[in-house]
Amino acid sequence: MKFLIHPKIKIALAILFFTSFQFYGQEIYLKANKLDSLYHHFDNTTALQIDRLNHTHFRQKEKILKKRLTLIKKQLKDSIFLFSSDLNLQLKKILNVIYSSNPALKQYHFSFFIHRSLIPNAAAYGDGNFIINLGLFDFVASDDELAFIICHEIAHYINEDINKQIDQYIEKINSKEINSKIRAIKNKKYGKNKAGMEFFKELGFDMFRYSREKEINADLLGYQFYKKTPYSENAAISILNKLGRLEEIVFNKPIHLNDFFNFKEYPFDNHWITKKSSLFDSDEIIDDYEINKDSLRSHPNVDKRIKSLHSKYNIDTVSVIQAKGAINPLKKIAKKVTFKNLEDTKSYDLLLYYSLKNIQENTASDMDYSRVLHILNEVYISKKEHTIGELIFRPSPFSNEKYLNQIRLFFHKTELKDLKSIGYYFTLYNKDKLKDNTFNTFINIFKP
Amino acid sequence: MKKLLLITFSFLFISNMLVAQEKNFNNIVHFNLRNSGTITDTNNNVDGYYIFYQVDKLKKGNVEYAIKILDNELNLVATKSLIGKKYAYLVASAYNNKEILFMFINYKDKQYRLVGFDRKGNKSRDTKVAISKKELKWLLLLRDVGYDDILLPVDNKGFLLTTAIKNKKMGYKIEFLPSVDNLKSWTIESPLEAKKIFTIKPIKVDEHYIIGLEATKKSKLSKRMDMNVIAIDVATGKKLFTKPFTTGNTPKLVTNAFIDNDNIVLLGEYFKKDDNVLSSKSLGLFINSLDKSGKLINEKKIDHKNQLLAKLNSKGKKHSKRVYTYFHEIVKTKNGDYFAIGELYKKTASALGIAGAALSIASGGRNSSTVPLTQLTITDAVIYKFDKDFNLKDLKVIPKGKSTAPSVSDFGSPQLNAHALKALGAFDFMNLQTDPDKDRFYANFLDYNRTDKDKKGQLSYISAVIDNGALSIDRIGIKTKRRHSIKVTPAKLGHVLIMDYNRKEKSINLHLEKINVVK
Repeated sequence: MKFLIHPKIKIALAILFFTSFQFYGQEIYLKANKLDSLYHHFDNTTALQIDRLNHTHFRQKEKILKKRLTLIKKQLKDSIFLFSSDLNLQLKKILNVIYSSNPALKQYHFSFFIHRSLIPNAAAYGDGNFIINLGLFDFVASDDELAFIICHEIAHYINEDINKQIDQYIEKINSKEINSKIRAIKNKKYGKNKAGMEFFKELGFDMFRYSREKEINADLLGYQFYKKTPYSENAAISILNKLGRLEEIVFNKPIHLNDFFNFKEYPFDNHWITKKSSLFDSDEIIDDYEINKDSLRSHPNVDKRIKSLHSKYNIDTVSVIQAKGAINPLKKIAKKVTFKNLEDTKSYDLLLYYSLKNIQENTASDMDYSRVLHILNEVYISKKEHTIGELIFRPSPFSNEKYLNQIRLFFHKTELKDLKSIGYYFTLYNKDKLKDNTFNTFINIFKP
Repeated sequence: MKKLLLITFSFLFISNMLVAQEKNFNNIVHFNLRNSGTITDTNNNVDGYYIFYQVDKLKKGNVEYAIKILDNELNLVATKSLIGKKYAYLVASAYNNKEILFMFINYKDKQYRLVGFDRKGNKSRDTKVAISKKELKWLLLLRDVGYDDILLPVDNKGFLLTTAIKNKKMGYKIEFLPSVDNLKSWTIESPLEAKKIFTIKPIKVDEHYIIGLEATKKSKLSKRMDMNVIAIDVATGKKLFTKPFTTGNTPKLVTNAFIDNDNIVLLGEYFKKDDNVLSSKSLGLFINSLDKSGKLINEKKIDHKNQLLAKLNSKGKKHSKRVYTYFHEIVKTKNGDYFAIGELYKKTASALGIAGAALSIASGGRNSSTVPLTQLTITDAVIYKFDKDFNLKDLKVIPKGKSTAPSVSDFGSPQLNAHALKALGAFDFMNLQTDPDKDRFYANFLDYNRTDKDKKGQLSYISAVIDNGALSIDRIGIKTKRRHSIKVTPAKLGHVLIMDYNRKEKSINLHLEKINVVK
């Protein structure tokens, strides 16, 4: 591999990042010697879950859980889960409030894992293990909102929803009705595939309909646990409302690249972020075989969930101050972990999005400025080596993430000379925000 | 290719099926891929990709087909269903900013079908046209020997469809299919009573003019061919002129054309009087400027030996006079300079052919080996720069691996073989892409490194970029990996598509890479 920059500068860059990003020194991935004990943990919890399975068509159900176990082990090995003691410490504070308010839950010895995904979400495996996506910490506004989500996931476990879903699915596919439908489709001389697609569509609708019912039940039971805690009642409603606007909120903070990369000597070219017209004038995929998207939702409509909670509980919706004791440090640590994770996975589009967001919100440190330069340099190198196509997603005409999509366009459309000049003037114009050695390093890298 | 796309195809569909892994569900849904390809515009830029497959058999010999359409960023943008007869093949596609048009042929039903979709994705046309088996066969035969522009887009206006018709022998038909209401369709056909074979190859199409190269021959085996350049007005279908080029004092073989401010610029090779342009050695290059009535405004000739070869030899390496340049394209930049893109070749002896002949003779007979004794050796790419008056100013040699292709005939000139081999895809030149907004051209070559021992077998995608009159070269090295099949193809403007198929995991990684302009 050819180095774009002089080896000496390369060394300087390495030292720079080692010394600047202090937090990066902390371990967030599972140590290799801990892998066996976690495998063992998941072996045990899966075995217990298998024991609780209904015995009809047992082997088929067991196969599903064993397949899932293999996948979890692979994810553990691939560092899909993050292990930050600081994050766990703060998360534990919220869990302790839930457990102390619901002592009966302590007997289950739940384990919570942090998934590296930035999509705000959480999930229950149904075996006492839960995952919380890294992106959820940024999404929730308070300890209270996070606590309600955790209670909701715990309710899935208590309701045995995963095992019930497996039961429902396996029993359904082994039913006489389904088998006769399959036989009829296989025997069809004409229109076999279309009938097959219709069959899968119906089966999917059934599964998702069942899943939506389970979500409502998990809200109701979860709220029972939640209302015993000192957390504010209305957080259950506020977080549900937010989930309803997930697509609007996530990765949709306006980031105007021309505010950052417009210089007198090298003006921002709007062509860098202008999409060329596609083959069709349509905001969504044109599909003659389209499936009703609402029928494929695993979660019910948020209004329906809120209505169901209100109908069972008299929830105080008057605004009450929500706790931020754990969430603020959690957000802070999650942010650092997010940056480390994005750096390690070379997710430069997201990395630039978050770095510029920090600068825009005046919460940036010198690290954010040097990170922007680091990203520009990395993108320059990958462009030069013709590997950017593997690194950065192509922009999509149907993306809801307008500003992230714009960053992708910017990376793909700029030319080498553009990136070099942008890097150079960004360094020059932000000299006061950079440490001397950082300034010198990047000015040398980007100098014309 | 089929395998690669099959995987993509499976991924696109089957991944959505929640439960397909269960044994019970095997073989319920199974699609048959028919073919796939690119959707291109007038400038050879890839605007999208299509995957054509069979969904279902229906009653009365009908079949449900579907076309998946991906945009030039590889995003799936549409899936359209289509009912038709069995044995339909999608043979051509084009996009003109207003409409996407697909052409299907069906041997059994002796028809071709044109299906168009407007910008909303609605069907804009669906026409079935009867065609005889002979015409169909002739059309596809021509396509295989380089007449591959059956369907061409005319930006913002319509499409040009070139098909074969039966006259006393075989002829052609050009149809204009408008995509906008204010234009009417028109048809131009070769003379129906003619006792010669007529073919036509559109060599330049823009929003106003169509320049076609019409060739006539007495029979398939005849060694002489006459060629005319025909200019047609897109709006009316009126022939502006028909001009013979292969006869007269200086026979010429036109290979390229472009339209420059209402003038038509033609480029090719010239010959001495009475030479057969198909089998004689050319004397050099010519450029002609004609007005739209066909009147010659300007002519310039560049002598092969004293100018082209001399310039080539002035660049260091000495080439023998047997070395020729095969010109693929010529472009004109905004400052008036011309760049001609070519590859060097020469006719050499084929070791395999000679060994075959020797064995044949040694066994007591005459040379009955089917392997030709000669071959064309194709070497470096070359870019010639001419000023606005077509004076040769400079030359850039782009080194690339040597490749050989057996001569089509041991007796024809190197040029004849080169033309024949060009049609068979023997040259490394892939295409020329034009970016008029930036006054930029990308001439793309695919080079299999056959010479450098360390990199033997490695693929290189070479792009010669003419940017605002300056030339830069970008070379994309494609590392081959064990158990992987890698294909490299031109993509959207200024990009290359790399398809990496992992045979073990049966997965495909498609990524677009931008061609760099390095000055």
